[in-house]
Amino acid sequence: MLFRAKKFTNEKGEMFFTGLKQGDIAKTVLMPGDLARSKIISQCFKKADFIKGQRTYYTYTGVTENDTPISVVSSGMGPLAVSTVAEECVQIGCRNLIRVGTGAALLRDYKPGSIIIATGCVRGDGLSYEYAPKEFPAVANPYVVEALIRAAKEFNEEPIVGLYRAHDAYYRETSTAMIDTFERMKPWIDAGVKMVENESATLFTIGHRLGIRCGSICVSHTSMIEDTAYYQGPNSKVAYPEAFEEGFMEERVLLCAKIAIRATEILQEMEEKGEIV
Amino acid sequence: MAKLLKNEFDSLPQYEKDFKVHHLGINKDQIASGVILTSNLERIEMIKDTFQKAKKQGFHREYITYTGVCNDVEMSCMTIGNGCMPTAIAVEELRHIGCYKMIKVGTCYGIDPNLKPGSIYIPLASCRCEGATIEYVNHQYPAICDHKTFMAIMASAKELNIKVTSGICKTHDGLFLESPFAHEGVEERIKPWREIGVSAIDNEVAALYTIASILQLQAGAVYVVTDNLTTKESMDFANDYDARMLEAIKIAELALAKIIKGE
Repeated sequence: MLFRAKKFTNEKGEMFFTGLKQGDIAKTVLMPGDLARSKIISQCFKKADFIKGQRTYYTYTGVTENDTPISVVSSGMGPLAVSTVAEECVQIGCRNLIRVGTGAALLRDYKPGSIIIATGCVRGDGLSYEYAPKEFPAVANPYVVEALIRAAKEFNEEPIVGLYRAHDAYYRETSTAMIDTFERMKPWIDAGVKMVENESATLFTIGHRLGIRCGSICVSHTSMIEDTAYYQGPNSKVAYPEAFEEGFMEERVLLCAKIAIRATEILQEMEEKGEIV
Repeated sequence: MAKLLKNEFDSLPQYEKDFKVHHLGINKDQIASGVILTSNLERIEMIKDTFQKAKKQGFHREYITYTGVCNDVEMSCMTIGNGCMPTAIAVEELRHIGCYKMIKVGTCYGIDPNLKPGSIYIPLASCRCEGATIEYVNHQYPAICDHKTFMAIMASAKELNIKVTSGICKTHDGLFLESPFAHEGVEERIKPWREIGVSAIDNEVAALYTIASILQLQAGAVYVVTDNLTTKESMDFANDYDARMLEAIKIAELALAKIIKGE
């Protein structure tokens, strides 16, 4: 049985929040949280047309280097925004939804700017509980994960692959709110969680219910716990001064986007070869 | 003691004579780097018969262990009994003796009406409707198949030309509440899970996946669907069970060999 909301459109027949209609987006959609990144990511397509920009949803559609159709739709931050993109895009043809963004690494040894690909997500959000009970696992689509890993390797990047933690209250779990944040985060770090961000738990849970393939690729500047005694890696400012030059993170986010664009092509190839069961 | 522990989830082995761990009854020299796990104690015969030079290493409580060679690599197989409690012990003690890669073979019940009895099912992840893992970490944490192990299982099935289905499973503790022989009310219990796209029910995989993930081990599973609780169909146990189970074992062994070799 197909799990679909009522198609909620405006008087022009466009989806109410994103302003998109059938034909506006490709089967694979990249989803940055930051509105400004939609345009930047679309500039990495071989060809891209601006489709629509309203609220937090900025959409470009085009093709990749090998002419695979691709779109980018920004979500804005947090679960509600992500759920809106997923719910509306699935109504107009989206089948693969890949989040491209930033988060904070929770690693005890972390090279600044390393790429982290999610296999699943700790459900510290609120929204996903409205879609599935607490026992349900927020799991990324394994073929999206595989396509992202293969693509990263083509860019000579050895990605960190593992669990994210998503939560809603940014200022409860960030390095500038460290009085109890470390105690709050330590069990997750010990349980092998690689990164904390704010969208993937919602994306993976909703993705399963809507029957679309979802994945996330993110980059963190440094590890959130670098200033604690728990950290084991070198001082990042000393060991990696280049990571503190202007434009470093912009370049790393752009690399994430390029990897996700290549992953779109790989996913298409995997599908054509019957590798996706 | 606490000072020796590396983090919140670390545990130290409880050694008996010859450094054999307390429940499994074997030591690190008796286990390979990867193991095929199964619940049913009798099924170990079927698995070890597919090994070359299989040698019995131990039989303590529900844990029977053999080590031999399979697909050109050293491999072990071990029974873990029923449910998440002995599964959790198995994962912990396997880590204590240096075995970090594990694939379970076994049986499950379909609840998705399209999941046919007699078919082979790969649980990608599982709903944590059991008690053991809650003592480790709250429900927010997902029970997910190790990514490399999942891809190796899917590649092995393709290589062996065996059709498999994957999906999200539900692991429970109350077998007699959700099974073909359950008390009244089974349909009411499974309906909400079926409606959110959960495809099968088993007894162990949430504990296997969650604890392996927390301890940074690699775990996967390959299941034969014996019954479907929605369609009330059952597989042909007399004529088909052994052949299907052998297929599941072959997939698991080929995948484990790939993981051990680092392919």
